[in-house]
Order: sequence, then C-alpha cells, then structure tokens
Amino acid sequence: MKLAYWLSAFSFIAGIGLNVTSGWLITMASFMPPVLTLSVAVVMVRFFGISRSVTRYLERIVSHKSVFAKLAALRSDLYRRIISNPARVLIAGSGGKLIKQVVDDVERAQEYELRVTLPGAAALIANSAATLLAFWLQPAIGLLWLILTLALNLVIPKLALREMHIVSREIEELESEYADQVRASVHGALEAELYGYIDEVNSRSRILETAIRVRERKLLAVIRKFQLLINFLMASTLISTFFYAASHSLPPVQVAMLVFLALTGLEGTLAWYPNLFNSGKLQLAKEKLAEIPNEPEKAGEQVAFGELVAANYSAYWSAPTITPISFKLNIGQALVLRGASGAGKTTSAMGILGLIRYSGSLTINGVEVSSINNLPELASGALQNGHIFNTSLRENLKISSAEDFTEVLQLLELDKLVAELPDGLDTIIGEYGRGLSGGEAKRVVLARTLLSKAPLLVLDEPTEHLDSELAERITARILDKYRDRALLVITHSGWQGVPQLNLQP
Amino acid sequence: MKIDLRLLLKGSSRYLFLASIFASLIWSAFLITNAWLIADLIIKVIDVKSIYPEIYYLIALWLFRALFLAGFENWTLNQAINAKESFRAEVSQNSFGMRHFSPAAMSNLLIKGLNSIDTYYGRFIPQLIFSVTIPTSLIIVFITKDLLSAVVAILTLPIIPFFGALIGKYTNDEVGKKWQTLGTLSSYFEDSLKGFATLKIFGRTKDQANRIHSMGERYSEETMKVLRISFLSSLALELAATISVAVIAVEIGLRLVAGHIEFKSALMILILAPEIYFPLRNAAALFHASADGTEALSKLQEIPQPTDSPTNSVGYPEGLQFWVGPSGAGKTTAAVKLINSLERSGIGWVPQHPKLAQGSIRKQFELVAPGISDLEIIHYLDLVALNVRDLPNGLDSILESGSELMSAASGGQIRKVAIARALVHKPKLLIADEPTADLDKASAAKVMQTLRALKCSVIVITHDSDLINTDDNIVRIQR
Repeated sequence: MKLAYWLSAFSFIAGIGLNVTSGWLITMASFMPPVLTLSVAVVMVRFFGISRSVTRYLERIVSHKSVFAKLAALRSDLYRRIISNPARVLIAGSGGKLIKQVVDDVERAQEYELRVTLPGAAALIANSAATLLAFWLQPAIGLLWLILTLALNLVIPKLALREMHIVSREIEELESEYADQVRASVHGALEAELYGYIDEVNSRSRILETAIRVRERKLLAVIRKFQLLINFLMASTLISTFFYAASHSLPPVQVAMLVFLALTGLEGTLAWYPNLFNSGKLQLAKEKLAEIPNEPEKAGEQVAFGELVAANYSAYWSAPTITPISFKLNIGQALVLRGASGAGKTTSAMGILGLIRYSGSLTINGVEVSSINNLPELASGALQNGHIFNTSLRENLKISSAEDFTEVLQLLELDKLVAELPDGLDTIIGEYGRGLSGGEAKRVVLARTLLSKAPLLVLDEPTEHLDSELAERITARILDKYRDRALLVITHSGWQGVPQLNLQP
Repeated sequence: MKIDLRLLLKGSSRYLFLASIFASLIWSAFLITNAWLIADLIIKVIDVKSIYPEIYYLIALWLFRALFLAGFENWTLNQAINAKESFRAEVSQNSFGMRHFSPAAMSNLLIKGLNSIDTYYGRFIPQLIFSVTIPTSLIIVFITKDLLSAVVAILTLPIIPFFGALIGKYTNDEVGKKWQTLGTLSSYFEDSLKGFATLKIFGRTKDQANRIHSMGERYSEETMKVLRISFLSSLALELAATISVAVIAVEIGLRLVAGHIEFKSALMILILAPEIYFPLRNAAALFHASADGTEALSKLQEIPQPTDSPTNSVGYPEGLQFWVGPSGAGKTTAAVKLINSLERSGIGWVPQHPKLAQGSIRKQFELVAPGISDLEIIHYLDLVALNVRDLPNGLDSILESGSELMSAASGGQIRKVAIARALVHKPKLLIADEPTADLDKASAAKVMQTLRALKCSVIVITHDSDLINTDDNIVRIQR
C-alpha cells in the first residue's frame, strides 16, 4: 500500500510540476531568449505531462491489488473473530442483521482504504512537496505553505471527521431502522391492508424518511462550513502570494511559478476532500469491524465417547430460563425430548452440540461437554433450521466428511429428488440455486447428520414439514439403522414407542 | 453511459438541470475573468507596477468563488436529498407495489440504491452539464486569443468522451462481471456466517476461514485482469488531458519566443488549459456512482402502481376447505392470487410466516377492532390456546420475530395471535397457511377445533394430513 501512496502522490506532484514548469517556461519565453535555454523546461513539461497519467495508472493497479489482498485477509480474520464467540452469531440468527452488517462493513472498509486513506496520504505527501518547492523559491511563502499543509491535511480533516461522526452515526442508525421498517412493511403489507392498519405502517415510514432527510441536511451544513473554510484558505494563499511578490520584487519566473503553485498546488487535497466528507459511514464500518472481539480458544481435552449424562442441565443464551433436566443416554439407546412450544427444546439441543452455554452438568464419558475439544467427533446434529449452503447438493452433504451418500439418500427417500434434479448431486442448491421445499431442506440437513460417524446424534424436529406417512417411514428406518448410536430426538410429534422426557415450560 | 432524459426533466430534477446550466455559465465567466486578472497581475508584478486596484478585484472574485463553490454544491446535494426522500415516500406509501418485491430487495433499493442518488443528482449531473458548457466557452476564448491552442484543444477533447464511452462499456460488461465476482466473494462470506452453526457442529469452522482466504486471493487475481483493461482506458483518457496541456504549454512557449503571441494571452491560455479538461475528467470519474444511480432509478420504474381494488365480493362456500398438495405446487401463491382478486373488506389472512403490527399483543387487536376490551381479547386468545398467563407481560407483551434460530419458541405464539386477530376481524373468508406449524399437539387441536366451528368460509392450507378428517372438503393443488 505504501508504494501506492507514493505513486499517487507522485501523480499529483507531476501535475504541480507540469503547471509550475509551464509557468516558468512561458515567463522565460516572454523575454525571447534563445530557444535552447528553454529546452530543459520543454522536456520537463512533457515528462510531467506523461508521468502524471502513468503513475496514476500504476497507482491504481498497485492499490487495488493490495486492497484485494487485505480484504481476503480481513474476511478470514473476521470470520475467525466472529466464530470465536458462537453465541453472538447464533443470537443474531442466520438471516440476522449482524451478518448482513458485517458483510456490508467489509465492503465499506475496502472503500475507505481506496477513497480516504490512500488519497489522504497522497495529498499529504504532495502538499509537503509543494511546501518544499515554495521554501526553495521563497522561504516566507514556504512558511505559508507549511501552515496550509498542516491545516488542510491534519487539522481540518480531524475536526471535520469529529463533527461528521456524530451525524453520520445518527444517519446510519436511522437507515438501519428504516431498513427494518421497509422489510417489515413489505412482509406485512397484505395483512396490514386487509386489517386496515396500513396507514399506520405507512406513516411510520414517512417519519423515518423525514428524519433521515433532516440529518442528511445537517451533515451537509457541516460539510458546507468546512468547504467554505478551505476555499478561504486557498484564496488567501493566492492573494498573499501576490502581495508578497509585489512587495519583494521577485525575479519574474519566480512570480509565475509561485502563482501557478498557488493555483494548482492543492489539487491532491481538493481531490481527496469530497471523499473525506462522504466517509462518515465508511469510518463507522471500520470502527464496527474493529470492535468485534477475538476470544481466545479454551484448551480442552480429547475424549472418547462414553455415556452422555445430563444432571440439572439447562442450556441458555444469555441467562438460564429453562427448567433443568436430567437424563442419561448411551450407545444403542434413543430418547425423545418433548415439550410445548417455548419450553426450550431447540435451546437444549444447541447446548448439547456445544453451540451455547449451559448451567448444571452435561458430561460425555465423565468429561464436561464445555471442555471437550473433539466434540464434532463425538456428537453431531441436525438443527431445526439447518443451513443449506449455496453450493452443490454434493458439497452440502460432504460437510459430514462422508463420500458415499447412496444409503442415507435412500433412507430419507431423497434419491427421487436427486434423480429429478437437472445435474443430480451437482445441482446448486441454497439461496441462489434451486430452491428446496421445507420438507426437502429438512431431509438434506438430516442426511448430513446421518452421514456423520459421530456416536451421538441430536435430531431437532427431524420429521417436521413431512407428511405423516413419510415421517413414519423415516422414523422407523432411523430407529432401525442407527441402533449402534445414541439418538436424541427433539420433537413435538411422532416418534412413538421411544423413551420420552418432557420439558416443562 | 445511458442517461434517461425523461428522468432528468421530471419534477424537481428539472430545476437541477436548469440551475446547473446557469451555474456552469457563471463558472465559465469566473474562470475567464480569473485567468485574465491573474495574467494581468502577474505581468504587473513582473513589471513592478502597482497591483491596485486589480488585487481588490481578485479578492472579491475569490470570495465569490468560495461562496459559489460551497453554495452550489450544497444546493445540488440538497436537491438530491429532497429527491431521495420523495422517491422513498412514493414507494413506501405504495404498499401494493412493494408487495411485489422481496423485503430484502426492497430495503436494499430504498436505502443503498437510492443513496447513490446523492452522487448522481448532486454531483454527476451538474458535472455532466459543466463538461459541455465549460470547454465550449473556454475554446471560444482560445479562438480569440490563440487559434493554434484552440485547435489542439478541439482535437484532443473528443478523445475523452471516446475513452469515457469505452470505460463505460467496460463498466457495463466487464466490470459488471467484476462486481459479480466480488459479490460472489461477499455472498460466500455471508453463506459461511449463516451456516456457522452447521460448520461448528461438523468441526469445520477452521477449514472455512482458510477457504475464505484462498478464495479471496483467487478472485482478486481474476478481478485484476478485468480491472487492468478499465484502468488502461482511464490512462488513455488522462494522458489525452495532461499531454494536451503540455503540448499547449510548449507550443505557446515557443511562439512567445518567436513573438507570435502576447505574454498576457499566453498566461491566460496556460491558466485555462487544464480547466477545459477538468469537468470531463471529473464526470468520467463519477461514472460508477452514476451507473448505480440510474440503476436504482430504473428499478423504481418497475414498481407497479396500485390498480383499482377489485369489487368481487366473497363468493366462497361456507365451511372448511383444505388445500393440500406437494410443496412447491404453489398453494401459497394461489391463496395470495385469490385474495388479490376479491374485495378486501371481508378477508382474514394468516400467512405461513405471520407478521404482526409493531406493538403489544393488545395493540394487534385494537388495530383490527378499535375499542375491543381486554376480556374479549382474552376470549379470542383462548380460542387459539394462548393463555395470557404464559405471556411475560400479559397483553402488554411484545412478540418479536427476531432471529430464526431463537424464534421457534415465540413463533407459535405469533401464529396464535395472528389467527386470533383474523378471528376478531370477523371475516367472510379466512385463509390460513399452515396454521398449526410450530404448534404443539394440544394447541394444534384447539386451533383446528376453532376453525372448524367458524360460521364463514375457511381455507386451510396444510402439509399435515393428521388435521384432515375423511369427510372433509379437500382441494388438491398440483404442481
């Protein structure tokens, strides 16, 4: 990235060089000297003219390359940080705002780098170069440029960002609220129309729209203030240059050079400012990404499978609310966990799979689940809303580490679906691929778990969304074929004839 | 670079258009006066003559410049903000149109999409107009001062729109693909986060972090290949602009030596030369944002306007009817179509994922039946097996359908409230899509009992054959 800063700065410096040298050339020429005395300047003017664009081109390539590399690293680093605290992601939910937000923020962080950091650094270097040139010509004007550089590149940006920060955050929050409101009103529009409260929904949208407009205008007022300040600074540089030149009777070429410097020396800063003024949101994105904590991995132990024993076990998200349960489950046994909606069935399952915390005790082979680090080898599970990845059906099943799916697909009667799919197992499914019905998705998620070699299988509502005959066939086959495992089934219907445990709400 | 002129001339943006033309003329006048004054002052300083009163003119001119630049851009951006609000309002008050899009697509269009209007209206359009007027008026000045410089400018200027168009073409074709690959990366990252629980269960989270990294690297190589072409076009564009300034500088320098041009004219031309190219280069640089802006605007046009509401009154047979069929057969779509074809007033609708209004449970009922008493509400909740004592704050509880993983608990409660609300509405036709999903057996039975007892037309869409008795009226919907 450093190289890109310098290339970009050089591009601006070449721009200044082009103008200042041209000024020298013309003033010199006006005294009608022999043409030879101008030849160096002629070459320089051409050199600056070409190198300005060429360095810009090189800078673009270098900066984009480096930003892409950074982005790849940022994404994987973020992923590691986010997954270091599973409960956070899970609470946010699979379609949740947190995820959308992080994905958006990463893109904005990239933009920040390209539009704010890079041109800012380049402008600082270019202005410093202009200051040096001014010092070399006239130390007093150099001093003026030093002040100008400090003000434009360090002080004003800081002040402006601080003022814009508050308003930008307000806008961001309102926009996120508005996004929720839009989603909610699209989703619930028909119901609202039918039940006659559409006006209320609509007026809430209007209130937010107006609030956003008011804040955006406020932001604009802040920007205008700083723009005025910058323009006055530029004007005073030009005017002071004239006053100084007039009162010190400088050599003619110096007059032209200093005036052209005042006219074009701030090009880098002027190119940077519009982006800087619009960077409030990008800045926020960067901050938010930096705030995501990295939680160190706890050391755990490797355990071989043994009996699963829950004693006063109650899994929880933020604080325990579920009535504690106790049970034992070993290889060759099956247990159904039942309970009314809201009793905490899914939560209990997630605790056993090591996704969230629990109170009480939950051990496998005598070791607390929370301190086992090879849990995926011991326990596998199918979540109620298990995710279908946006890739082929084959890749979705391969997550289980199995290669041969035939038997499990037959067991779940998914073989018919595979035969129907245009590319069989290689058909892309998931969000952007072929949509699966609720029942199909359920069975794909279930297949993944049944393919796993783990001795303990936790199945959360495995037969929901299936018609009752299919559900019964699948239930019978699972109970028969997975006799050599410990099966924990969480459901509110079916699975008769299996020992049951009731969760009390 | 497609710009829809109809959009430009519509409503408030017409003022933007006219004001930009006006402002560009003022700016041309400023540039010319400024160049003349500065050239004059440089010569006065060199000749050791008094810089008064010209320096005062320059001060006044630059004060004007400061106010004009900040003021005009502020005004155009304000216009953009206003236009944005009115576009948003137009859509958000058109619930009929909104329903034709997914919630995610709608919020994306209204927020991210319309935010690009800021740059499109506030910067790009004024800059586009400037890039026509400014070069034209400056070239006229050049013609009067130095014909050769004017010829150089006239010959080089078209190169910029030419390469601009080329870049535009690549932006549409190739860079479109680039954004797609970046989009792929983004969605891969998103997918990994969404499926995080599954990856964690199978012990694959670490693999995935590495995969995200290597995928990012692979894509960045491919993307760079495409970007290089687009950067080359910008290189050509900028070369045209800077080299012609260099050519003009050298050309007038050499002619000054020969005495073919006045010093003052030469200075003026030198000061003005970069300004000829500046607006065009600027407009080209803003192209991306403008592409986003036009896309958002054209998407807005796709949102249908509400038609007259149908007046077919409900003519459905009284009693309960089941709609069954394989998933994906279009049961829900058929139901929504049916609702759209009927007069609105007498219909109750409980979709598969019901959406409550914002507010407490009591509010849900008050919106449907103003003045309803708590006792009545409790009665209706009883009909759907929702006991007020199970709710944390009684009727003041707010049920939120927040996350998918956690909602299983309250999902059932939301559904129950949605059904009860539909009952309060006293519909002539009640359509319930999977009314017993995520309900326990007892609740499901109670809900079905209530629906069966209703004295109106009821359609229940379901997967669950256990709900259906042998003598029920069944409609099979096939794919």
